[in-house]
Amino acid sequence: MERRVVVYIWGNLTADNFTPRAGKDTIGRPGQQAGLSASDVIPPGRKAQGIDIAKLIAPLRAIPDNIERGGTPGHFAIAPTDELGAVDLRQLEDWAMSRGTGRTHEFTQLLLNAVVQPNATGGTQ
Amino acid sequence: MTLASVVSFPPVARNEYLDRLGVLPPRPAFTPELWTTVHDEVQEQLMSLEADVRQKMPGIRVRAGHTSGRHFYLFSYRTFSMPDTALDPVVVGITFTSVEQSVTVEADVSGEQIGDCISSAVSKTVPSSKEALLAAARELAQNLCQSADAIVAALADPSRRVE
Repeated sequence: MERRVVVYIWGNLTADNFTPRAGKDTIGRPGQQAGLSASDVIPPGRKAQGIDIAKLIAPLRAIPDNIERGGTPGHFAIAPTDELGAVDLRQLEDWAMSRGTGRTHEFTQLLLNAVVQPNATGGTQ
Repeated sequence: MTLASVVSFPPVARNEYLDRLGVLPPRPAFTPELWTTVHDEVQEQLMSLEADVRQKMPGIRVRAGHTSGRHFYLFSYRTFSMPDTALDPVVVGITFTSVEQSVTVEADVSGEQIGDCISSAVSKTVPSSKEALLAAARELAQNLCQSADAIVAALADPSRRVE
């Protein structure tokens, strides 16, 4: 049987929280790809949204950090990828530009559709 | 005469992917129009909360919105934020999710990105009827309208800065 992998976007189910921030989430760091951050843990007492990464539809993918290159254990970047699996920065930036506009970008909706644990709270996983 | 072959297959005990067939999970059928009506009801009730917060905190920015997904019918919310600050916006929202043939309605006030609890969640499970959903939306949204002071305090709390 397949093992379900759930990662958590901290915070609320708002369209803005499910959309990357331009200039912040659109830039990678050592061991960490550009993309919307998700984690395999929820801080105690905090609210988060559980995403089943198997339910992400292309081009979106959840990419785990590379720990050996300075990434954070348990951290994932959710981003559109190209056919080779690399983050498609142009699509990521287009997506980020929709934040704050009141419009729900198609990638935001794909991500909302992959939510399997709405309003999970830390300490109850 | 040709004898027909009898072929039988043993039952297979697995249920993954059955959701693709619409078999699991059992969800009541709702129209998009119903959720528009429910969203409108929530937002109408939250108007008085917005007025209270604006009175206590002039210059505040307020946005109304809603989202939906395959595992939740509706999240109807208002986001309160202070322009030109790095403080996490405060989200006042109600989520509607399916529980077998009923709907769970959950209301709370929390941080948009950090998810800190600003006002405790209240939830109830109601039958899958328009009347029950609208009544729950109204009741829980009115409950949220008591949160003006907590929202103002959260939006003045420097420990709620985000990157």
